[in-house]
Amino acid sequence: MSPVKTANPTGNAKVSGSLLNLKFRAFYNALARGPKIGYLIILSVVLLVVYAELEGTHRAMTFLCNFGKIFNESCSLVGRSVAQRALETGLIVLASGVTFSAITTAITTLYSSDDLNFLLAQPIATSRVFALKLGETYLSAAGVPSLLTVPPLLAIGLFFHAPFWFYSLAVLSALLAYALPVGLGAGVAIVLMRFAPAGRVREVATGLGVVLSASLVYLIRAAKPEELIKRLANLDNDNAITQFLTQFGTPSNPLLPSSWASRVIWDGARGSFSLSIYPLVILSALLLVVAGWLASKAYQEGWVRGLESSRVRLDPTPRVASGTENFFGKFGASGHLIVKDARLLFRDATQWSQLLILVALGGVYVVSVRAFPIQGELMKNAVGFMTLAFQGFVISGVGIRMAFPTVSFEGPGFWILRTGPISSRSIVLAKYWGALPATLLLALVLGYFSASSLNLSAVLQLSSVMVAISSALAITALGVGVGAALPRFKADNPAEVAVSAGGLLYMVLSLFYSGFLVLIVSRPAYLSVTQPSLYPGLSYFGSFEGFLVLGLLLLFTVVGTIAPLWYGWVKLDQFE
Amino acid sequence: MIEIRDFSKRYGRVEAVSPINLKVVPGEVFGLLGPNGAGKTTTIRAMVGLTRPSTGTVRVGGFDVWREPVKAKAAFGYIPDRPYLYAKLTGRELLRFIAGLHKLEHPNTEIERWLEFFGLEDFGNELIETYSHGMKQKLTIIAAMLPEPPVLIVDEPMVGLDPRAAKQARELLAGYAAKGKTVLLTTHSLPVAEAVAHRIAVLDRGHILAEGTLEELQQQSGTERSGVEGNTLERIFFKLVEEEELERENAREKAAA
Repeated sequence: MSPVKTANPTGNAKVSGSLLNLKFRAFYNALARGPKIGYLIILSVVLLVVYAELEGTHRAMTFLCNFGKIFNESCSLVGRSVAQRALETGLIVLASGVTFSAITTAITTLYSSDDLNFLLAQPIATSRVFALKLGETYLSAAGVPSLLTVPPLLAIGLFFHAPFWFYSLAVLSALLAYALPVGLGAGVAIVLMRFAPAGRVREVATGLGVVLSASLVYLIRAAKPEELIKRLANLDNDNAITQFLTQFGTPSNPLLPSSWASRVIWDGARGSFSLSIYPLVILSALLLVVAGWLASKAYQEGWVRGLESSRVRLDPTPRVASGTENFFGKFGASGHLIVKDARLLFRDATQWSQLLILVALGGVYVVSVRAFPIQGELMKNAVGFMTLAFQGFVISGVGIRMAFPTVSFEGPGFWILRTGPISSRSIVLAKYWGALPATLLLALVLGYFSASSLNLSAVLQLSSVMVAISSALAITALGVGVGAALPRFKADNPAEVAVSAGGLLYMVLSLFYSGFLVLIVSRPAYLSVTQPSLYPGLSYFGSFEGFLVLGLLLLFTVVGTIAPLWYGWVKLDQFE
Repeated sequence: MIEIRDFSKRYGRVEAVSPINLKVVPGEVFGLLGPNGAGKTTTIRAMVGLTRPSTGTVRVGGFDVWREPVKAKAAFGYIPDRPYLYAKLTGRELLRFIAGLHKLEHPNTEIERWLEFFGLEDFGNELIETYSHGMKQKLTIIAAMLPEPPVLIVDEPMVGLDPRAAKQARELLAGYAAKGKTVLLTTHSLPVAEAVAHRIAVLDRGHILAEGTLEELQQQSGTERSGVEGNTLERIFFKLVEEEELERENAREKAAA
């Protein structure tokens, strides 16, 4: 449709009918009227992350390329193979995250956006509205992964002194690798909204998202990084090593778009143009055509069907409270809030799907730790010590979906609690107790299984469980507390809640907390590895120094748990 | 009882409500009227703890809403104009949750009575996301009245209600005050205010233009002296708002001169 021209009282300026202009104007207005200090903080964190990515990638490349370097090679074969496989795995990891949320995000954006009532009632072609919403779906589902991917690509290009065309080609490849799951998600969303059982669309969509992303997670495991270590230890001649490394460096999943993208990026950085860009572009174009065709056939009908699809089966039986509800009711308003939250969690696909992520994450972690080939007591305990740090990172990652959004989940219904006879303190504590079982269970599984499957020393095994419990208690509190202090009641799903200044703050603080925990237990871990005869068994914790470590850990856990919760309820109290 | 003393609210440089004073006593239905942007919703939000006053205090049921929030909130029921409820709870579950927050013992009989009163008994086990706007509004009214609070604060009570339910709601509000409870409502509907409110305040651009019974408003606005026939609230309302606008226009002209 051509731009709309109307009389303008202030002059003869044209009034644009562009939907993109409308969105940019709204974005600009929101920015201009928003809190400047908040933007400054976000910008600082973003710059910090970009710098860390650039620097980290450069250092990693330098380290890898110098590893096993022979004569005047610019980069060793081992380094090239490992870096190439790491790039592919990284793209698959991010693409699997995009795939997981693509279908539900597509349904939310394409069919539940507030402005659809307005837009679809205007004299605008449906295809234009669809294109706008598809763009928004990409930004919601793949915006952050895309932004995270660009700095390492630049760093790789700079490292290899890539030709000038590499940079645009690399960014295009990465964007297309994420665009494909988004396009697929949009296509599936259109079909589901048109044909899936009424009222069950979100559930079916989430189920599909889980299956698709679980397949991708499986493919990550198919990369089998531990194979490298195993094979390197067993190979006895140079030819075999070279042959294996060359094979290791080639894509582990040659039919996956993320692998094509990684091939284009890798070859491009080293000056050669990869033909893998063609299937990537062709598939994207094909998907765009199919999605456009589907949209022209079924978008508006699906939207209308979504509005009419509520099917009610009337049942006049006056159902009363269940035993669980009565039990939790004994704990007062907080108990009732926990029951309410549990009901909403298990009835809302965008919420219960987070539990599946948690199970998948726990499973992949434990399987990966078990598959890790380690020989020698020292190496085993050193790796075991590293898993202590990883546990905290995993709990932080889970907390951003399970703990941080719990207050924001109240959404526009928050007025019920705000005007009800329940204090902000009770609200925050109820949210904490509601989120803790899931994170604590995961932490214990990680802490116990990783330590026992690696057969670590007694001190490290106990440290692993203590770190797990401390991480769960404090990081959950951090998530709930920061989430209560900086809630986002207008977000549609947990992923959207997480992408915020509060989400960033939580991630930074929780990672710091994990780091401090590791520092606290580093001394007993070091002694148990280097001088096992000095403190046999758990005797270290009976010593004065052991008491100090335990006391410090306890103090850290108590303060780390109470302080964020307190901060959360104070700020929630002041919230308007 | 509702007591507002020197309450004002500023958003940055904009003063949404200039210092106002109001008192609503038990047994009374008090109507807060005003055009769009008059400051009605801001005032109501301050009463229910959704907005912090820039100056002054707001007491409900004898408790300062911001100093003793839990006690104050136990003393009132609130019916907002837009009934955002938990979509994935059933009607009965939501009402049991509200009963739990208010620590009501054995609420089931009352819940069933209310559902039947609004004709929602067949829908009580359905998720709220399947309800129409009017059904959600009815459920919000039940949620506010279920604990039988001494004070009821209502923002646009008739939005989305069918004529029968609107009549029921009017009767409910009047009957609630007749039981010795305090009711404050804002509405755009002048006939509603005229039908149920004992006293009325007309708010415009954050100022109270007039306050009192219908007869007192008539005297204050001088509708009889100026030759305007009849004494309906609509005539009084327009006269007050137009006079205010005229005064503001004069002041602007004077300042420009």
